[in-house]
Amino acid sequence: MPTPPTLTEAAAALRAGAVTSVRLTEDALAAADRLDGVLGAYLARFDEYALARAEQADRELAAGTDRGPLHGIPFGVKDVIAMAEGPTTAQSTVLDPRWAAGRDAPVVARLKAAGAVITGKLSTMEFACGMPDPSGPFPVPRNPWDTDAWPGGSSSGTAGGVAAGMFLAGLGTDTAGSIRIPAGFCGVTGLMPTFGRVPKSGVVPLGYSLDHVGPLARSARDCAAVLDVIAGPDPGDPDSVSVPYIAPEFGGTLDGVRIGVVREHHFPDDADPALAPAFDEALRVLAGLGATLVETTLPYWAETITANFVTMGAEALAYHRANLAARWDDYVPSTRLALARGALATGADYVQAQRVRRVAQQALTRLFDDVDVIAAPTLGIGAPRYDAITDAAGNISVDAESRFFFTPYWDCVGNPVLAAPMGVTAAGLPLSMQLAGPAFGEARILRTADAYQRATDWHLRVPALAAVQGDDR
Amino acid sequence: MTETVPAGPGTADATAEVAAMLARCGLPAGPYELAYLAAEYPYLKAGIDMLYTVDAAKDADPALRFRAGVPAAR
Repeated sequence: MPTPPTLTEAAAALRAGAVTSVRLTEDALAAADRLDGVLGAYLARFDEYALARAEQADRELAAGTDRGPLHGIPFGVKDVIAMAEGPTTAQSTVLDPRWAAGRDAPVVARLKAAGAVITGKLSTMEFACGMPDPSGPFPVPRNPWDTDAWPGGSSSGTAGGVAAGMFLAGLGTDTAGSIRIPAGFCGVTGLMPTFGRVPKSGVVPLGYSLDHVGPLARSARDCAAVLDVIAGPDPGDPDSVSVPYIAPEFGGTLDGVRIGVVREHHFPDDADPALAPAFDEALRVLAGLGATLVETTLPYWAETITANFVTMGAEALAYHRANLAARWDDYVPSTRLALARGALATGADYVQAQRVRRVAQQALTRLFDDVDVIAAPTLGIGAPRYDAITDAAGNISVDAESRFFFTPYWDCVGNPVLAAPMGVTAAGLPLSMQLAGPAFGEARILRTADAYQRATDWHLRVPALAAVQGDDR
Repeated sequence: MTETVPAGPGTADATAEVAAMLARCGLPAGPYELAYLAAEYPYLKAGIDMLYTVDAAKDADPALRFRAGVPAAR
């Protein structure tokens, strides 16, 4: 097995008797012992719990009880998602420690029932919207490809930990790009499912109508295995829906698949020079697999991004306003700045944003009459170094870089999108491609991404620090 | 030490307007935050105004959710 293995490879090895869950878990914990002092992916570790679960998984598999591909797999959970084994902090001193204490979010309960070995809770940036705060009590997450660089966020710990082999898959959340941005910067695969496909009950809210829970892992196949477990409605989330999820059949070819290629707005003049060649090469691979490429544009691009901004601001401020008024200084400066933006739009502006969302959603649905999948870059740059995004007062901000984040459009319309590694910058930092589908079309984009990943190896590349860990085992 | 505030037309009008909106919500923003948001505000306002120019939205039903019946607690 390559080191670290993909979830899918590890699951096969478990069933072939080539490895045990205990060994996989010990390796994951050893990687964390070695690397997390630098990478800052974990906010809480559950080593004893994880090893006990791994032993249980080995016993069950030996006895013929197979809970599916997550059974015995080391797994991480972003710390905005409730888990009974420890407090949920949302990486903030503001959140009441009693919030969801002793409870599992439905997605966590489903992971446990599937036999996943959850190793801990992961760095998220405060309330999934701030930036790391070196002066605060929480670790500053770092990118495994360049530990002086930001790993992206807000699912920072999930992406960094997967890339470094601290667990083989994890959960993140995405309200404006928080699964796909860190997946892109850390060179892993991340899936934002259709809004409502996965319940967000038991998750600290950021934008009630925008929050998506989804997997980050090494490959599209890994993400498919996780989605199969976490999809499905929950009565605690009124937005969750009971549209059946049918797992994709992975064929390896894309004959008959029409891919809409989006370039407009995604290639600013100052984007990384490697972006365009990497995207063109990814398209060449997709066409070589049988796909038909069609140049297209995304309707209401600017309006939809503004609608996302207005919606997230209003919904987040509604949740935080009382605490902001009473405990302003307890929030990280970048967080309170982000949340305060919600005060700058009116109630009518919020409703108008929802009308524009509906229009954009309808236009996009029509676009998917002509294409099956849409391809576009995830990000216009490689991961920025912290020294480039930190001002003289020590405030970390990516407000200037956010124009290179091509992600919020999709949160606003709610369609599923997968981010997959597609190349590297001259500095060796990962670049990423988004593959989007129609609402509830996850199987389509997973199948397309899997075909791409069978023909390429970007998703299998590991940062040098993780490879060293593997050699030492 | 200096702090980086986004360059932009953070006019006196924008500053006063932003200060009023923050105060209305009870948010005790400091001078740095006020200046930062005031510099951004004209761009945000232009974006919001753009939302009202979408012809197709004139008769669109907003994507709000409310359903009769009480869902289970989150």
